[in-house]
Amino acid sequence: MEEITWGNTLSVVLTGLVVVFAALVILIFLVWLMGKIFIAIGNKKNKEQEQQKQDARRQAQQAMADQAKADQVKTEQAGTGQIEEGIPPEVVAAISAAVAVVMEESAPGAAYTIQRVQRAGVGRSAWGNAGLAAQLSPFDR
Amino acid sequence: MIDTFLTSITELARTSGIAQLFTMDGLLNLAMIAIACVLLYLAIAKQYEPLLLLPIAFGMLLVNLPLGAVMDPPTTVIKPLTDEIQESAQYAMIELQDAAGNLLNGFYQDKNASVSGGLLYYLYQGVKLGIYPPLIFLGIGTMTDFGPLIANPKSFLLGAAAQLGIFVTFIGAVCLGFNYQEAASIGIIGGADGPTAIYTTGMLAPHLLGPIAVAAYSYMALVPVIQPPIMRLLTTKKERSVVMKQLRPVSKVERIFFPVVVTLIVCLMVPSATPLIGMLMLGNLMRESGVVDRLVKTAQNELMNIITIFLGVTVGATATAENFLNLQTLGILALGLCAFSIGTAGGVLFGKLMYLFSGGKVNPLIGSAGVSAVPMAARVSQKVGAETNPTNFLLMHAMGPNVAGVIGSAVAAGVLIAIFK
Repeated sequence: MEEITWGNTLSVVLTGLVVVFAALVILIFLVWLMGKIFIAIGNKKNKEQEQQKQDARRQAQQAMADQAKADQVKTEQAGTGQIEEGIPPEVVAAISAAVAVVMEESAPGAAYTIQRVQRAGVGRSAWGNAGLAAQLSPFDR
Repeated sequence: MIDTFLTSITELARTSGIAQLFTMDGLLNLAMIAIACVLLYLAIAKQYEPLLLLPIAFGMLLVNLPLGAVMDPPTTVIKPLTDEIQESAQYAMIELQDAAGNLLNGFYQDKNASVSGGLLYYLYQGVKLGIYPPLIFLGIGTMTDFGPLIANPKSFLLGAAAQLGIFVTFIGAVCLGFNYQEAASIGIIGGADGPTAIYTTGMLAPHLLGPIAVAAYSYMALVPVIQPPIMRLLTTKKERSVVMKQLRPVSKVERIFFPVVVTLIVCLMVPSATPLIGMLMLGNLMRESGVVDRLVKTAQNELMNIITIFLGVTVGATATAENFLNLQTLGILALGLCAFSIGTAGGVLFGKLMYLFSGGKVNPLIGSAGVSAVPMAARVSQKVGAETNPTNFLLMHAMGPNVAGVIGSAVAAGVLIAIFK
């Protein structure tokens, strides 16, 4: 197109605007459609995940209830000597939490029961003190 | 000895660039060097798009140094073959054909008289052959987040409306006496996208590369000055204070699909836009896939920086006194400003339409961001919106039309190249 006329000029402008708008309107439709599809897929996935979470929660509650019942039976059978006298319930709770953390790290999901809480000894041996000092003051040397 | 010394010095001075500066052509060169220095000042002191304006200005400076020959093409000297040359057996035989296709023997290439081209001439081939702008687009793709556009695809309309400036300016340029190829190259300044403007001009009117690049990058730097008055003029306070609904989050899969879909649609519809859109979307796919981090880093840093230097210096080097110091350049600068302003107005007016049809949910200020100039134009929308309502954050909403403008201007460039090349 070489000849400069109003007709040619306006047809270029019209062609340009129509093609730009057409291309972008098609893109709007496709991107909108893509969004709808992926949102629908995402919602379905979320629902399934929510359902799985609910099932897992229900199972865990059931397992905890069963465990509590079993512990109660064991405690009744073994009498009241499971926790050494003089250890306050707060210490028992802290020890249970620490055990739970360690068990979760080493064997995730494994079921266990704390059978007994008792003092292992009073104070530390000389070797124990030396080891502790070495661990706690590494920069004093 | 003194005589010989003085003769040598005189001869050196007479053939130096300094002596050439005081001829008529030299004075024009001096004027161009002064313009280059002004552009250097704007790039360094005012920081107007310094990444490109600085190399452009320096390229302009280099090409206007008399006898520097940095943009000279190579010359091949062909002479009739003599017995003496034939005996030396050290010549490159040339076979020529006359108009009827008959072979003309007896010529050779005089390698001593032949001159290899200047440094920038060879680097310029990347612009001339349309190699650098798509590579810049590759880097831009790795840095662009199309999330806001995917979340609100209607933004594409604003990106299209802001291309109005390109076509209205095309008419203006034709009226001012430019031919179609030149008018299309000038109009594309309205796309506010440097690489697209350079790519289109390189294809259609390479002799205008200098003024068009300078106009495009100067006006892009002046977006915060040019756009706000137009935006305020075309909108009411009520429209400017519209707070838009927060955009939905976009999943990774959508982000990965987007560049593929855009490439397929745009490149099939407008094949001549393939180099620009293809590279832009390749860069974006590399970014969103998350599996080629090393390539993404290279594309957005080393590769882009190297190409930016080559592109800037060589585009600047096309601005010789002969090409730049004429009324055409003034026309291009004026038309470029019109293109920017009309593009901004087109975006804002379409934004007003969307405001009406959406029942007041769309802030028309985001329309002005449709003129590419990423992310400056989006920042301007945010700033003007915040003037009316300081708690209004339009930035993310404006990024949608902003990146749609990049695609829109590449499509417009593709259409113009397809028609006029």
